[in-house]
Amino acid sequence: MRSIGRRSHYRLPAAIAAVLALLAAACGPTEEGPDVDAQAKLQVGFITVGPTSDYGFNYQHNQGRLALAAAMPDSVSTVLAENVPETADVERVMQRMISEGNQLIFATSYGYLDSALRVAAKNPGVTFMHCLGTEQAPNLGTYSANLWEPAYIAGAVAAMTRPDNVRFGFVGAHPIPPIFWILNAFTLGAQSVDPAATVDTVFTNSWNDPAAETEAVNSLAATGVAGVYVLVDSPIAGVQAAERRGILALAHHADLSSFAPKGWVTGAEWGWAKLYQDVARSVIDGTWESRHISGGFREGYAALAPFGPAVSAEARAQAAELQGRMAHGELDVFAGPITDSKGTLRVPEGSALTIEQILAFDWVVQGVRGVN
Amino acid sequence: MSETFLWEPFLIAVLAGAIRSGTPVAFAAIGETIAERAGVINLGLEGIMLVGAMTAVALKVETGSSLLAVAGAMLAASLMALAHAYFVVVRGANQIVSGLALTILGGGLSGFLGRPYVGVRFDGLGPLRDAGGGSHGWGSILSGQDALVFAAMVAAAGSWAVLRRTRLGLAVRAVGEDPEAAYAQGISVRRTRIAAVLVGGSLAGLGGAHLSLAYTQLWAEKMTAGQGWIAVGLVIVSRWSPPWALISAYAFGALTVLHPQLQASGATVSPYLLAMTPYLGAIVALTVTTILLVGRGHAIPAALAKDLQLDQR
Amino acid sequence: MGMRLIAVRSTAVALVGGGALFLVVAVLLRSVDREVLPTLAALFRNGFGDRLGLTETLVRMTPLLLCAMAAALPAKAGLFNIGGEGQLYAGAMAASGVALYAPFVPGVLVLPAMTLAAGLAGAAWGAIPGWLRGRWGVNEVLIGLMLNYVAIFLVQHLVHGPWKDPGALGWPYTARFAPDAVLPTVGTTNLHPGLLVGVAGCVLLWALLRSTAWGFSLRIIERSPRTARYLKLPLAGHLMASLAAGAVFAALAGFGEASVVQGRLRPGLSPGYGYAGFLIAWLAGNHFLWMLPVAFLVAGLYSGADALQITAGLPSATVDVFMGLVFITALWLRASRVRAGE
Repeated sequence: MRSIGRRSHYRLPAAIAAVLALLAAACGPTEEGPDVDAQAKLQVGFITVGPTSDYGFNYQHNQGRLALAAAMPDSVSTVLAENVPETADVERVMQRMISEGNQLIFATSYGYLDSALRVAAKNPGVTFMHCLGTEQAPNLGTYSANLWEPAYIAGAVAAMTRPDNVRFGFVGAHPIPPIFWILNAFTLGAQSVDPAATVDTVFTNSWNDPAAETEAVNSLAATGVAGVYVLVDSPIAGVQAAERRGILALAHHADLSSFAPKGWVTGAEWGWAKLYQDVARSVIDGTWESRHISGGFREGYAALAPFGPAVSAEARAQAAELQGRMAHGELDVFAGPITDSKGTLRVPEGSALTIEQILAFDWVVQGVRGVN
Repeated sequence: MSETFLWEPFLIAVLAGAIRSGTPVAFAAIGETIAERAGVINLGLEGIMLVGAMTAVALKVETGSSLLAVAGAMLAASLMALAHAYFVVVRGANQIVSGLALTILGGGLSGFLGRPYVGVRFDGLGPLRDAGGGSHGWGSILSGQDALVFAAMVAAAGSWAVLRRTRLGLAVRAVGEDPEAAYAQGISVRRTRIAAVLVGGSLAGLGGAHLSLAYTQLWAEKMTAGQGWIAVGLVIVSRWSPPWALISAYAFGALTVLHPQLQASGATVSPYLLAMTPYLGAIVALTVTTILLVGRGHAIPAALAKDLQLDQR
Repeated sequence: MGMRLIAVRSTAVALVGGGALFLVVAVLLRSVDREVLPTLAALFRNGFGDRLGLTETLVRMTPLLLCAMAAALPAKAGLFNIGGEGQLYAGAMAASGVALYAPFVPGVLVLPAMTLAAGLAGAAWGAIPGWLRGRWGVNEVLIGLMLNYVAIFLVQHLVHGPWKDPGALGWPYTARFAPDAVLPTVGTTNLHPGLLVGVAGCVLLWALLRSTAWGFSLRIIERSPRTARYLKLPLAGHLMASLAAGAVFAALAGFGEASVVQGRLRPGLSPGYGYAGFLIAWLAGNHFLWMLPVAFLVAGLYSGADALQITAGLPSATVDVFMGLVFITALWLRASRVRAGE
């Protein structure tokens, strides 16, 4: 038994409600803006693709932001938008940030590049910085960090920690250059201690899939590796899985020692704090230029994660020595001779890879398995 | 790389991984089978699993008790399923809309309320016998699993037994095939359906709890990554039979572990074409059985088909 | 009951529902220390109150409206089309294929070719469940749902494999579309002709459905398939055609997202537009004219709630909570008949 005109008699109230809501929007009380004395300070907006509690990629960007806000409290104020997908949303978020007064925008995910370029073209007075980007615009610069330096040391330390078994595993998201930098550096570092070191690789094909990462580590552990290096947006799942399996755990982006109290070795950390302050200062001073900014230990943009209990004093000393040499430009991670996994000599003795070649890395060194 | 390919450790690792990673979706599929057998489709599984996963972690972190965590997850999931049951069974609302709304709400609530628990360490549900690195013998396929894995097997067997052998199960099936006849027999269609949806939802919540508490031992937003939807497909593939739902969930688990295992052993195959197979399988299974049964029977529980085709406003 | 009593009762029900929604939202906002009324006002202002918000709402409305049409047209024949997501991706794939791999098409014809390709791909994707349902009675809900995932994985496969941009150094995206392959937009916004197509399409379909024999046939099929068969209406044909035709709109939404919003084909093109469109169609009672304000409202709520992350520092999950609650409230408001046999 259907009631009469059932459909229509809920539309009218709904329409009234909608109109009331819109009226409320127009006349409702305004809320506190983000920063009242915005004129004096440079407002900086940060956009991340994932949650900042991921102890990984997004976490480190936020740590950099917090450090920036703490180091320059009188000249800089920051705002954060996290979990912004790489769709139309990010353009809207950027535009919204600009309309709220932000003059410097950090778009921290590679997939924001197209949107950032578009928004930059529409807002020539705003400065944009895009992480890991490959092209610039007059008001858009790109940045990254030379994390292959700490990754190399991580490989060496790992090999020193398990000299009896120099088979390692590597869990990465996608087979792209920023992951190949680390994979290759890690392998070369392990091989600098023991030339027989090998690295079995598994790609999860997703930046963030805890179940797949767990399974990848389980698979590698089942084949008998001594430890794994986890490079996904949030290494937590992988590191915990490694700890459960009793193998060594290394991770990228941040310090995850609390997730693997016994098996943590070290890892490569982004030094965004320094980079963000350098950029903010250059914008305030008016010296900002559109280019690609990068650096390693020397510039303070790369760091080695704290060591775990499994790492011997000797290994720590060795690591410190390697770090010192890199900071002074005396040790080049990708110096020849380097042969690729198919046997071709890619870097002859006496020469080294250029930055352009590193950024375009699409091959892997000998000793890396699972990549074709 | 010229190592000889070792079949035995490979198979052991794949089987163990298949069971382990297929358990969350197995719970959801078994639960959904029960609900659909009674004639109600619940497309809110994804949201319910997420709510279960988050509740389990939250309770574990706050109280330290795995038992409370699991029970809480099932309770929270049942509450969401109760909403679905209320709208669909009592109010006659559109099943698809209700399910979709719950998926959205579940995803949002779990993300919103679960924020404090992202990146928080806790002692998850461990295996019955400690694994450690390296390969193991065939026994480790079962002994290396956690308690909830066995709970899933019990759930599958139990659901099958109840559906097949008990009056309650008969009532559920009757309500799903011909509710009017069931009503004439004195069975309360409404109450049976509500119960079926509640059981289905709480099992899905249990699946979410396994994912967060035992398998990955963490909470992250949207961590189920579509497993709730996969469960709906598996119900079709398994022809609404709980034991087959379990098996197909393990097969799905095998697919997901096959890829990293193959990579770790040196081979490569497109993971996306692999990932498509459960869905293509469901399409083929449903089409073939529907065509074969034309005029002779029902490919899916009859009331389910009728309800989905009835335009309920 | 008299009509006036029904109206009063339903208004009361609506107020209770709205009030309950407000209460739940208020509790959640207070739990994270936010002022309720200012935050809600900010939500509406973000979505509708300023030029940026309004434009963004319209941009977001385009795929939502098109996907709602994709669900509503088959609904006129009694079918449930939740395959909108897959149909969207099918359209995106086809359009991208033309944009990237059909260099023989002269510049001025690229966009029309992309439109045609998207439409055909969408129609094909929708025809599968339509035909299976019309010819064999296979449940179109389940087939459509499964096909969504097939489409999503197909896009991932293409983008990671055969269609990967060789210049993108291994990142999983296709190459950028040439300017010929990008739809024209209004000024500096992302507003493209898709919105016009949607609006015009809704008006057209509304008119056609109520005044043509075809529209009447669909209504008969929906109410009573038996009568339809008795009248010798081509049941299978109508069912398949309505799903295929609806799917074309979803495919056009995919074309728009790939061409304008992204400028390339990539996974994650759609944050669930197909499903949201289904919900919008349902909210509007599958009525093509009512769909316009409903899609606008829902788009605005999404945009506004989303912007709360920046203006109010709320977590990103707030949007889903809010929208989920809105739909639950709408479900509750739809009082319905008691089911037979209870």
